[in-house]
Amino acid sequence: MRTSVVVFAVVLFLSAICLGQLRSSLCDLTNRRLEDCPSLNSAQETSHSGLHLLSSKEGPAEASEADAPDAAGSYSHASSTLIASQPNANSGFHWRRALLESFTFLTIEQGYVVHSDFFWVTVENGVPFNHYWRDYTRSLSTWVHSGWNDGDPNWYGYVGHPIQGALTGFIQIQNDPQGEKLEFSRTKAYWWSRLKAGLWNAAYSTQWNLGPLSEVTGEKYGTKVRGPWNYDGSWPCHRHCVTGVGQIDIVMTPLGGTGWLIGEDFLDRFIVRRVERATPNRFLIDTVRCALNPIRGGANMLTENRHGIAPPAILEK
Amino acid sequence: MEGKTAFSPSEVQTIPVPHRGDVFLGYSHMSGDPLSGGAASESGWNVSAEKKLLRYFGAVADFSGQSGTTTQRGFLFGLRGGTSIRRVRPFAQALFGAVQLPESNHYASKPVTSFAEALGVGIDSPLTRLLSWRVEADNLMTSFDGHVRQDLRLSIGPVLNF
Repeated sequence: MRTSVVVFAVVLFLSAICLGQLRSSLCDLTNRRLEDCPSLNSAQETSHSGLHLLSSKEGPAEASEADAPDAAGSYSHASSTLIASQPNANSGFHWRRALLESFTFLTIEQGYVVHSDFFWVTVENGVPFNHYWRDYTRSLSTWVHSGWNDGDPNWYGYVGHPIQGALTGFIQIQNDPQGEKLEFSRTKAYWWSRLKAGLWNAAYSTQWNLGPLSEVTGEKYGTKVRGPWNYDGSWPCHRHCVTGVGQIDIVMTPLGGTGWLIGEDFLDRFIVRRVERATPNRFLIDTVRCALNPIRGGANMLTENRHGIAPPAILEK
Repeated sequence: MEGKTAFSPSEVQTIPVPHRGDVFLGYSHMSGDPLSGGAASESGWNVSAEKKLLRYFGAVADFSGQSGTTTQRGFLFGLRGGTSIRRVRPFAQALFGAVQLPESNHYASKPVTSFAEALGVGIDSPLTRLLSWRVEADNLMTSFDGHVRQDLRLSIGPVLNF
């Protein structure tokens, strides 16, 4: 399975151009510090109750002190450094947008996978999904008896799939008004939000691995027509056969993905935010954000255009 | 009052090109091996329409027809992602659908249809506010009679933005 490769490539591509996605880019023309940027401040004002956001008024020194844990291990929420913004009772989870963004990501992944495994996609008389139910049940049966390993290199299962999971988790977060503005913290709201992201991630991952539009239905893994092979990819299989399906992905994607996502939250709060407060240098800020939050940047590329029109090209007279 | 204006001269001279979607109509050239002069090649037309769904991604319907050593028609649907970088808009797309050989052909004496996938890239250059010029290349994969075939489809022509 080349899932991990395509996810990795997609995320790298998306994150490479995420500079233009960052909210700080809205302030670039004014050449002001981020804390003075109206767009950022207005965004904070629209967030929800119980969310602890770093104030735009603090300086680097105060921020460092405010971020330091106290003796009990909790983080101080002094009024000068954190604000609790107003609730927005009308904002529920954006189901349509989240499903559309997830389907877009699924289409990108399938686009690459179908291309790289075109022979297997069309192996049943040239028709994709041919003998659907017969092959689907066979694949599920193979998966149940396949054990942990699916035959992919370790970094596919332990790195690539968690990246996929983190991206779908961020799709849930960016469509959840209750969790979108939350930063890493020891609050119930934060961990509940990230648990919901993990559940979205698990649902997408299960669909990708075993669902009706999955690798097994599209590429015929675990079916009679695509029999097992050796670890080195050779045919026919003699011993220690692999089938392309295994339980590793269905476990590691939600678990590793949620861990990756929380890791990016942690880096965002304790490094990226400090850099933002410490320097007005837009390039440095955006570079740090993209370097330390690449998957969030990738997911951000999938957001719906809330203004109804994409960034236009400029035609010079 | 002295000197200060609301817009700089460079800002006054720029026109934003809308992009809620577009319609493309152009010439297309299909070749199995573009680097080989002796390879079979076909020429024809390509029409596509895109409707933006997300900030950078839109749904695409793409229809094409080529004739030469053989005749074929394509019906593809999928996703296109792109963004504007100053004057131009580069994009990439993944399309799925079918390619039909409507006449007697290499594979059969009757019309045959194959599942098809096209992965492509292209670039739009604005000419006027509503009109752009597109250059596009797609790797078109089909499977006839159990043989996977890859073709390069090049398309060029005007794009109407809306």
